[in-house]
Amino acid sequence: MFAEKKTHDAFGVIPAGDTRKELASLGDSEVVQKFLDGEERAFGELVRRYDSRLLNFVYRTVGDRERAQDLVQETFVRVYRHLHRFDQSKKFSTWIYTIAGNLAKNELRNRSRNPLVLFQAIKKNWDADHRPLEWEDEAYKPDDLFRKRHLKEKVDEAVQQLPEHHRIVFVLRELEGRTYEEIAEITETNLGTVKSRLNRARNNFARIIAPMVD
Amino acid sequence: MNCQEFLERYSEFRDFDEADTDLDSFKTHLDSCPACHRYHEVVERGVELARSFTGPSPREDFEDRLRHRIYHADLVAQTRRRDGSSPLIAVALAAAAVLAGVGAWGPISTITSAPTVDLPGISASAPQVRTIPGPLPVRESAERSPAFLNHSNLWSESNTLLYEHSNLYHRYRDGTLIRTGLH
Repeated sequence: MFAEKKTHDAFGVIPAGDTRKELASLGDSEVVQKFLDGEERAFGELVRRYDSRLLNFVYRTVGDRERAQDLVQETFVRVYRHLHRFDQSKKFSTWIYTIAGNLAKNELRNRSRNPLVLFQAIKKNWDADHRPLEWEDEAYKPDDLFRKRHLKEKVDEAVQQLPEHHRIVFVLRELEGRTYEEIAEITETNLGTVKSRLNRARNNFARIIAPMVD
Repeated sequence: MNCQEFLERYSEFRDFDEADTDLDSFKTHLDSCPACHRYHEVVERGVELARSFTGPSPREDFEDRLRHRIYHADLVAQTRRRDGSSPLIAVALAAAAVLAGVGAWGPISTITSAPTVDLPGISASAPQVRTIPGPLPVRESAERSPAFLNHSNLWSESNTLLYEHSNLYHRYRDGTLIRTGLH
């Protein structure tokens, strides 16, 4: 990746394989520093580390595979262009997730420009935020083989059904393993909001998937 | 702890904040409440399933496309720099445009004293009054006008002129010409 821009290899100073191994053994902040020092291969290492993770995160946020690919590409383009502005006292992963999350949110916002969609989204968000927290176990259908066979897909769909502001915190916490502080930074909200949204997201998620889970 | 409190504080339990969480009270409630126990199981199992779901993988050409996009982004940036459209020059051009606009703005120009020019007085004369001539003799065109228009006072001079320049007249005249084969 990005080998043609690398001068060290072209001059045979550092063999490509050795560079890759060396980069792979470094932490994110060191790889970023390598890139800023002129080691173009370091950017390829960052892409390898984050492409699948970001793709899953963005896909789960926007629910569209093709669009997710484009948005992750755009994320890397922005990282490449603005890496010199990155505050290295912070975590690189939080920064790159923030960029991807903002692009995903913009995508959802653009989609909801239709007044009807906007109204439905506002209503869905309002309901999700104000409905009393409750738990009522709905009847499980053990003979529903179709559901069992496609359980993983159904659970994935359940994530997609969550309102946007719940879904993003849910995905970041439960599927990406981010801390509350990181989620607050990525979503540009405070800790209290993250906790509240996450609790409601879990409650909604449980209500949706309960009929499918034995 | 009751069920409502359990649901409201469930994230504390799940995310296990040791400093703030009284885990014993959660565990005691879970052991004694089948509904909340089921809730916890559903969340656990659901998250486990969601994690096991294989999401999309980057396309085969993902890196090629990315390299292509970055190359073009670089190229565009270089072209802009070469064309002298750096931010500094853009700011300078914008400032020049603002100054030119301000210079052309009226209130500024009135500050400078405008030269006084003596112009000759304006005199105007009344236009010559045209008299409307009397009725003209009936013309051929009027003779060819439809019969239903030929009643008294209709073919005064002004109406005749109007009629001669109307579409209706030309339509009838052309019709006559066509019928007589004169075209």
